[in-house]
Amino acid sequence: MSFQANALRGMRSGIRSSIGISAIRSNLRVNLPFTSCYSTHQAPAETFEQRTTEKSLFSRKTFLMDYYKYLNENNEIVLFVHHNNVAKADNKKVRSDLKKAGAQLNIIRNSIYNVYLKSEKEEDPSAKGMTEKNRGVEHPISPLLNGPTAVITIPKCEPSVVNDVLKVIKNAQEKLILIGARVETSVFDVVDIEQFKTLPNKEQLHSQLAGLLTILGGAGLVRTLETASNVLYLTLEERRKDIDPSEKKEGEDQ
Amino acid sequence: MITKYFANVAVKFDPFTTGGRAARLFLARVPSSAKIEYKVLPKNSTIKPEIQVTFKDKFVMKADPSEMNINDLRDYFNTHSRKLAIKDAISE
Repeated sequence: MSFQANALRGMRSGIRSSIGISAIRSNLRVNLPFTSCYSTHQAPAETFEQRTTEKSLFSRKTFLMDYYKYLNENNEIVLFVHHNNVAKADNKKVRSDLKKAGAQLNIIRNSIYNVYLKSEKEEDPSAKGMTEKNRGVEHPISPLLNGPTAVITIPKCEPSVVNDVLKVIKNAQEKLILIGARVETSVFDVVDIEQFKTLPNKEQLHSQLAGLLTILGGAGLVRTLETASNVLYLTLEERRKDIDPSEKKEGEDQ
Repeated sequence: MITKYFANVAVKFDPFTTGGRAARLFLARVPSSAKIEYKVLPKNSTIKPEIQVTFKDKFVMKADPSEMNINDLRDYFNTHSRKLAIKDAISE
């Protein structure tokens, strides 16, 4: 472990703390060794330094790629907003309101985010050669990455949280403009999001479905679903009966 | 772009199309002193994207961001802003 690497690691931890995410620390413990400065847990420092990345390993570009990967993989909903002349006080207020709603705002660097999206499906998007490999990929979200863009990340797919976040965005008036979203794997536009926020959450839908099946003609549906296998069983049974006597006859002949 | 004389800015755009780029870059250049109205259009909407600027002398200019890039928009709105700037300079 060289002195330079140690110094850079210190800088990297500074960047992390300025972003102010405590959750990232536990997530990145696997591949980033700076946490070893704070904990007794020894991260595999050697393997980390051997990681070959497109840009230099300790560069901000690599860090941002890793961070965008972290944001996208740990959040089921990513809302894209256009931000406009957000003053310091407003910025602080919006961020704290979003935090209360259970979301988080990050201003993104469009080009790096775009590069990440292109090699989204790779195991390590910042690895050497990935950018070149996925240069031709057109991601459906790419058109949103023009002008000042920020992402609001929501960890769980909960329409009620989206509703709260939209209220915060509306309070910010023209300073934050919602332009699109990625919910799990699908891309939503403004109208889709408006519809989505009114939906009940997954657990409620599941229980509604279960309720429907048990109360309203659930037995009929179960019978319908069973018919295919029943018919198959009966057909096979018939066939077996057909075959059985012939086998007996063959036995008698011999 | 001379944005000093903008009083009202109304923007309609679809962020998923090419017109969204010009509209958003334009929005980013509008100062907070101007009043901004916006409408984000959904995919496949029939409403045409539009930028409408009302200047401080009540003069209204319209442009279609899907046909112009940000440089064209700048030149287009500067034509009137420049007139106002010259008027200002003369009156001083």
